[in-house]
Amino acid sequence: MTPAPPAPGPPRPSSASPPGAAPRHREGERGPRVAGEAAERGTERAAQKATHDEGKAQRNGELGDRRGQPAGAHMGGEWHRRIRGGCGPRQVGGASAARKRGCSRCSWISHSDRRHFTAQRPPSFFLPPSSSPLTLLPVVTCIRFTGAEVPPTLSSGRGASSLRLCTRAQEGSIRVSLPGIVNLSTTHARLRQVLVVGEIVDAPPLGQWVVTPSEGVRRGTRRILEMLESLLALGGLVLLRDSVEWEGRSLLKALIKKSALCGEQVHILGCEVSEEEFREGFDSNINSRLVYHDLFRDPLNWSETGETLPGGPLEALRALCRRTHPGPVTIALDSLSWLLLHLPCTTLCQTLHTLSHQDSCRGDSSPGEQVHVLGLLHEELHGPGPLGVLSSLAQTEVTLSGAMGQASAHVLYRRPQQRPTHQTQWFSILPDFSLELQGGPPLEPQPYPDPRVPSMDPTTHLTFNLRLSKKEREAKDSLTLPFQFSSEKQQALLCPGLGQATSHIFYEPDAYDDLDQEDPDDDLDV
Amino acid sequence: MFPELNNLLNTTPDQTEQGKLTLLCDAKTDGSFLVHHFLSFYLKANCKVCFVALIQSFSHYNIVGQKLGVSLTTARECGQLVFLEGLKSAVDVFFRPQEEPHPLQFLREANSGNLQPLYEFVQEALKPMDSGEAAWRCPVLLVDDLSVLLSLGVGAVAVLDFIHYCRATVCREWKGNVVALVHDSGDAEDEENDILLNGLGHQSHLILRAEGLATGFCKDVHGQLRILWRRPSEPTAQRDRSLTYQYKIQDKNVSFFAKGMSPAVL
Repeated sequence: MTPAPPAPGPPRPSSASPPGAAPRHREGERGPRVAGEAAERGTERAAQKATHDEGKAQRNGELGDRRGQPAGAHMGGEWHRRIRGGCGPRQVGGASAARKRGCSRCSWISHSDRRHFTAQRPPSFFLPPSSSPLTLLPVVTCIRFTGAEVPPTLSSGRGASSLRLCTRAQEGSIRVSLPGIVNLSTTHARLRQVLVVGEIVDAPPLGQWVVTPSEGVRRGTRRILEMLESLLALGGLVLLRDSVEWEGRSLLKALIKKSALCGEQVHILGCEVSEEEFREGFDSNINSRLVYHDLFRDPLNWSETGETLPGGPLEALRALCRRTHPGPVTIALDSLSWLLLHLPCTTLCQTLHTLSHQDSCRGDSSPGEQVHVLGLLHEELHGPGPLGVLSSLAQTEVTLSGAMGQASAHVLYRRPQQRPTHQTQWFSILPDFSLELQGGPPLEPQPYPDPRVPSMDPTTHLTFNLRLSKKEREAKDSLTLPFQFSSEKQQALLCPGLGQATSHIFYEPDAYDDLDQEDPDDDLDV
Repeated sequence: MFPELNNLLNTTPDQTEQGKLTLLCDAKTDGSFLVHHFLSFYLKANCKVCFVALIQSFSHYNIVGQKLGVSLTTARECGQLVFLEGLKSAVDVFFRPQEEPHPLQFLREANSGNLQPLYEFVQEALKPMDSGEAAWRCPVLLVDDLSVLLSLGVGAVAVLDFIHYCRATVCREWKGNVVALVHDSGDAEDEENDILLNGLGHQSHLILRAEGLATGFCKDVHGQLRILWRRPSEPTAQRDRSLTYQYKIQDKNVSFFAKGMSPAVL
């Protein structure tokens, strides 16, 4: 065992550095220092610092030193004043400090403490994107620009324009993204640069400037909007295909709730569940917009009480086609499977087509009024024929499946004169029938743990040699394979008289050999 | 009634859920032990039971019921149990004058009719009495089993309609329960049976599926039971939607255990 190396002596503070310059700190060296030494070092440092004026901020371990210094002494008072507009003693919190650090126009905390924010407001507050790149959010009521001129659009950092935001730190926040910049760190860097440069000028009126939400937030909220709205956007027939394991009635009810909240009247042809069960979970203002045509209680008129809709399910369906109520309307068929089992497929498809293209029949309807037909279909009950027919009638087709307790919807959009597009979305339906998007199924834990034994290199401890020496490698490389037709071989064959004789076989037949050229196997005794 | 199955389903005879359709299906094995369980369970829970038994005779169910602690004879005598013995009464269809409707009237019809007479029989049997006092807790319809109706010539849509009407009347109107057994044909492609099974699956609240083991027969483990809750009663309850257990049928009991945890193996 080698003797332990001698312990290093306590490092002298200024041994390695010339006097007057800031000594470098290394993390490891902080350990063996003791308090007394720190004090000794501190006074030495303070003496040194007063002399040098580097702009670079010193790292940790020196906060204690600066407490006695005036603010901004570490970077030169002039520069500091220009950036921060002066600030109090270096403290965290404190009302006076907050006010001093705040915007000069409002009393809010300056943005420079927080580099980025995330929008926490619901998406209904978003204004449609205008031509200017920033959208105002209600949490921010003061946006100030620092710069020589006020740019109509924020370019990607060129020019002296800069941005300083004041926002309420408690109540939600916003994320600023400059156009053309996606990388968050770049955004932060830009903001830092932007804050440093320039002077304070007056901001234009608030309505003109907008702050866009960050990419991630915008994507998330847009997804929520898109999921239900895009399912309803195309109009026509929306087909929900579910299975026994992944039921689709809750998604149907979520779509009905969305339509009802948009002000449409919803007619429901209910064949599979009773009216009370269907209306369960909806609150009263949605329930007032739902008209339930009951085909559940007595669809085939077995009880003969006369309560049923005359004509059976077909008449009920046709009655929906003939309604004269103006305005946008949503018709929900729960379920198409029941109708398909009781009506001939062709009749059903013709009626569905009439139903979903109703607005084109009526001449006075405005193009904004669409008829949405939502159909719930249990795909295991039908063969490929009826499924294919209904699928081709549908403008939007949602197939429900899932994995590991998480439901997913595979949506196929058939926009007119465009290629059909697919989208897969993981979601869950909340008890009040609003949709919540999920990222995906939780990752399954590995069934087998990673091998604890690290794989050994099999080429160690061999009884034979796998490696080549240099000479062997050269010999191997220079070897010509016997059947490879290289140029040397070609020369050798073409010029046989260069000393290499082709081989001959000399055969002397003896007495017992009976060579017959025509039958070489003549000597075999077969 | 098997106490272990009650634990798995989280029910006791004292507090049964009402207004539910339970679908029992079996594939590659015999799921009739589930029928015996539910029969004795609802009799012990003091419910009025209408049992449409198309497969076995009354004495068969009686013998098994006695092992599980209920007496079908007493229940039938005091009016708690209305028993339609399909095997015996099927013959009566042909020897009865045609004007009187019979629950199994469809046997007489040439083309596949509907099951309206059967529905009317059930309606008559489970109708709440007008006496005012609730003698029994809730009406229960038990059918063993529906696949044999397909074999007898009834269409799958007709059977689905029958269950639809039973659900509308028994479950929704009278807040009772319906339990039905359907055999799963498995590999043998029976389209009508698949339509019936899947259609009922979409309508039901609870699906109990008894399957044979994938690896074949075994002395100690008789099969596997999959429990699927489709429509939870409380929307906020986030309970397990699907559970799988293996079971072994003993003389008077069925023991359930988690997959691979059979006492014979451990």
